[in-house]
Amino acid sequence: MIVKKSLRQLLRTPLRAALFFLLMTASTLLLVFGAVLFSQSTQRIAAAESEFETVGTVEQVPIDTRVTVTPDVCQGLITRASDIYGETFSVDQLDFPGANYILPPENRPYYVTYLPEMKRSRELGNYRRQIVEFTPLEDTDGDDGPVEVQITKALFNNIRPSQKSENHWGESEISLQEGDVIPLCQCRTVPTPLKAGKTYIAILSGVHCETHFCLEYDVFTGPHSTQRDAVGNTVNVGYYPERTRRVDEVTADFYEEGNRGQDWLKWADFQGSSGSLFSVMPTNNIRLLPSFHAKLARMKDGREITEEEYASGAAVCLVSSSFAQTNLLRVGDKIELPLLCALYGYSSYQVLSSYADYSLLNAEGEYYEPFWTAEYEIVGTYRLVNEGGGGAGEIANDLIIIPSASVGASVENNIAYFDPINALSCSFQIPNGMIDSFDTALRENVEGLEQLEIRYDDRGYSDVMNSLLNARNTAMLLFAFGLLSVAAVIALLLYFFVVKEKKRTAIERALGFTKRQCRISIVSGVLALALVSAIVGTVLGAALTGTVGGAAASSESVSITSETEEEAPATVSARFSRKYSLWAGNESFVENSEVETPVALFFLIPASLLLVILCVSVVLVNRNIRIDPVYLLSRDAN
Amino acid sequence: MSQISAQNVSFVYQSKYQQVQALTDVTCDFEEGKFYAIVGQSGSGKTTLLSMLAGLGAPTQGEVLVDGVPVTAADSEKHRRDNVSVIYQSFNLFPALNLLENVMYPMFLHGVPEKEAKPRAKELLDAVGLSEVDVRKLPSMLSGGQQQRVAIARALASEARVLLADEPTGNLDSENGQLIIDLLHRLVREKQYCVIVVTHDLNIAAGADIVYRMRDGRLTREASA
Repeated sequence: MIVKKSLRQLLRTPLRAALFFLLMTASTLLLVFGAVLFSQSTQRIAAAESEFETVGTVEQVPIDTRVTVTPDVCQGLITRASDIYGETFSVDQLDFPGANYILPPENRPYYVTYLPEMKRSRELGNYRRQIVEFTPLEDTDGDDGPVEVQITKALFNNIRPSQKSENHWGESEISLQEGDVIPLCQCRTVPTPLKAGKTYIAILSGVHCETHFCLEYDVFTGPHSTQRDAVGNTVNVGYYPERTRRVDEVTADFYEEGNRGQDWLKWADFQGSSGSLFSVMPTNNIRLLPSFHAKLARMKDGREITEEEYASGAAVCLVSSSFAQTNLLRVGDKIELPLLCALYGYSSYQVLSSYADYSLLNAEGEYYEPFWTAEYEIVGTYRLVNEGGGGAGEIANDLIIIPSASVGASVENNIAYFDPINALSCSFQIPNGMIDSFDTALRENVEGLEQLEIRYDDRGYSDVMNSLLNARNTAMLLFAFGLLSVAAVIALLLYFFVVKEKKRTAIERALGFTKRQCRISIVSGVLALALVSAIVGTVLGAALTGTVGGAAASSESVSITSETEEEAPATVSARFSRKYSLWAGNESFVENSEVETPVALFFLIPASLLLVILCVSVVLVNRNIRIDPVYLLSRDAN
Repeated sequence: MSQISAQNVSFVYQSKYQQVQALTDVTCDFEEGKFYAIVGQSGSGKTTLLSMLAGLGAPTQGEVLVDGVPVTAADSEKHRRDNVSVIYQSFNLFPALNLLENVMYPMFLHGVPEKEAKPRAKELLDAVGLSEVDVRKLPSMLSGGQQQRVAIARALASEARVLLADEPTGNLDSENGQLIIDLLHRLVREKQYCVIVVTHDLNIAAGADIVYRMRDGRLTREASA
């Protein structure tokens, strides 16, 4: 009954009640709107902080270029350019006090592993080669025409049945068999004079001769070693240290132990087994791999390797989904990886192809013994977003990724290729937003940077973060303004509906109301008005948040879209800057991250307002109650 | 029969700078069916005594008794609800409630349902001479005399037998003032109420059955007019 009377008295001053209803509703709306926007922009910032990574790539640039021009009867002048590098730059030189790396620089080699049980997910480009013994039907005379030779023994060929046999000119390269007579180009490819009737061995490959306009066979690189030491110097202990075209005469004891025939047999074995070679990449985190950083490679099944696994060197690995599918491998399966040798600075496109110019024979002409063998558990599979595109360039076909620390042995004696660090093999991670300060510190602390090209890629973090921080500041202003408005409205509300009701309380006290009844009489009306306006304000604020949020999504740089059909509908996307991005091209790069509407705020804010109003109004009513009613009620008389 | 009395009531309060002895050893009795006037200069302690009798303040010493039973701080609210009603110079009606609602207000405290309270309130308004006035009007729409009549009707609604009136005619012209005094006298005569009027008006005091004079917090009884 008291509550009813209280409300009745409130409604008897409709203009005042309506005014406060509107003011309270508007300020609650502002408060809710600001709070929700603040919460959402804070979530977006947190999402961006975890979503964005700032990665630097390092490439040692050549100090000069050497151009060689070789006259070639068949193909005219052959011009070759090769880069000359200064002293090999080690990633350790990039460590300096205050570097504050999240992930320090790493130089990732490709490890070559031999997995005869596994199949490659797709065939790679194939440079046809055949190892044969042959007998010239005439002496080579140094003339520019080919000489005919007859095949006496075929040791190896890599011509695939599925491979197209005709070249661009309609010439067919056949799988050479004993008795076949073929033209051997002597213009540029026969390193030693050949005598008719003698038997020779070489690797031959069919090449179209521009001079004679026919298919002739070239002598290809013979058995050799490409072993390097830890800083890239050639290891030369007498075995063929360079890639040279070789023709060896086959004598009676040619294949006996210690003679050159053994080199050829190993070479044939190497060539024959190359289809079972796979590449393995050690890393301290896949975030450092350009393809993963640029989101050109993504996890498909299972999980990523954890930070703990990277740190502890757990025997876990990631494999490509196509490799897993081809070999019926699943997450949880284990594969044994004998690591034969390491290729530094090598091209991902050549690492497993027949164009490969590294040798699995060490400087002593022996196969590399695995420097590390362990059984690795597959914890996840990845895929390239565009399988044909090859990612950013470092993801070799069927590449297996392992934690660097999982390799417990030195690769020092098993380096089969060494090129200086490049942008695909060397990278590091620094905190977001630190590019300029890091770069300045780097240039102040590290010498020899002139031979390095360092690129930073934050995937647009700077621009996105500026945009998000602006949004959050705006939300903070709105929230603060809402808070001030609410405070002012509450103050006015309590002044007019509580403080100025001293006399009413005094009358009620004089009539015999208990103190509790006096409190209920005053506070219930105020709370009812505040409750209705807080609810209406919250509902309107929530609606406004949805409307404005939706509008912002379509117009601002921080927007709401979805990128891929297999991912949950996203709520944040961002246009990325290209200032520090290698990968952001002409189009906006869109990223997804969840932003939840803070539903709790829709309850918390009105509840807090009501609580504040309740507490303050009770305090004020208590003050009113403490005033002697007679003093108030008889004041006019006195 | 003594209905309400003050026994050796003293009251001291602390003002900003000093202790003030508002009442000193006040003893008095008020009976049903009599009209009392308490006169005295401003600041003499009249209103303070009224406050003590109404249970709105607790004496520093002494006690207020109703039918011989002391009024304690714990039951002062019940005392105000059941035993006394106060009428003020400035009427002190609820400005946001209409006449009927103002009169019905004390009835709710006694748990009288609205269905019963409404005709009773109308009766009371008729009794104080407001039968011609629209009961849905707000107090501000009435004259001062009419508002004071509503205040008296509200005082009667509580069914208390003691009416304490603090300068009830102070804001009224003499004609309306006299009408209110007449009304109070009628209540004494016809309904046997005990009416205690605090006033400066010697004419009102002259019509009282018993006159008390307050001077410097001390009360003395004067001879009846």
